Amino acid sequence: MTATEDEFRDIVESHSSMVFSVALRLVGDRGLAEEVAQDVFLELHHWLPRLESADHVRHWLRRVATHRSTDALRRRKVRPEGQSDEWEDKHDRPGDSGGSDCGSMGVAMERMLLSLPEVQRTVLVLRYGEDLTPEEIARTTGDPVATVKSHLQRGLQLLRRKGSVVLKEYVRG
Amino acid sequence: MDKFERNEQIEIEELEHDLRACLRHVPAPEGFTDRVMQRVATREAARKQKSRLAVFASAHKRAGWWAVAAATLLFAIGGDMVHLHHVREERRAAEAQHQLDLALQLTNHALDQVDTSMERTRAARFTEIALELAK
Repeated sequence: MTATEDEFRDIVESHSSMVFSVALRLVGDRGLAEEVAQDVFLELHHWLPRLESADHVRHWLRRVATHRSTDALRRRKVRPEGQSDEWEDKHDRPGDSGGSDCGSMGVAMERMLLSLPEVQRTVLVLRYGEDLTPEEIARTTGDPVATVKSHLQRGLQLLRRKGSVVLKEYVRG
Repeated sequence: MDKFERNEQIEIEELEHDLRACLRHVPAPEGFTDRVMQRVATREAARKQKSRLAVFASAHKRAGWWAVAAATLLFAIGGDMVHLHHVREERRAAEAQHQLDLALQLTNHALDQVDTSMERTRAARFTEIALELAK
């Protein structure tokens, strides 16, 4: 797939939200998420001639954004629990949270997600943020389907457990 | 499905609903596309510069090899010429030696002939003296 400069700009515009969102949900930091997202598009510019279709581009972007976000997290050795307060401060600003329907529990949900282990957070973001099936998630991450399903189940259980604790605090507070 | 399982399923469905709401896409920061395009342009310019340098370095390297080859050839030719000169000088020396030898031989021969002549003369004189004494 070849593209002129204008066509490549259009591709970036079309997919910037998706790539940035995946990076943001995985790394939990806007600055780092933008760095990752820019790197992903820079890499796309190099690989674009080898990609065959718009669907291929979308799948490629999602896969590379996931892997680069994981790499960035590991490089920074971020401890999700330690970062959640900082992330919450940044995302209390309007427009920083995932969507208007998050409501009062939204920030708590985002904090809980960031506190999950990286592998479970990744599959939950791809499942509920990107609407991928377990098989599609397996192709994106390179893990077996059974592993993906196990991470999904475990991730949801942890969120439910954390959610009940947070809900009690919310009600009490 | 009993009540407990039904409650659990409802909780999970609500959790999934909340997750979908909170994980919706957010817009990239303002100016994001411009920053990406700027980095692409910078990288392309750097790549072209590197490519030009690589071509220059390759040509320089080839020119270097040609210089080495030319120097080797000149050295070889020069070496041959020195050898040729040496051979010629040796030949001249040999010729000169030969001529010297010949000259010496001729001189010796001439001297031998002088000796022979003087011997004959001496012998003839002794004979004359002997005859006079005999009278």
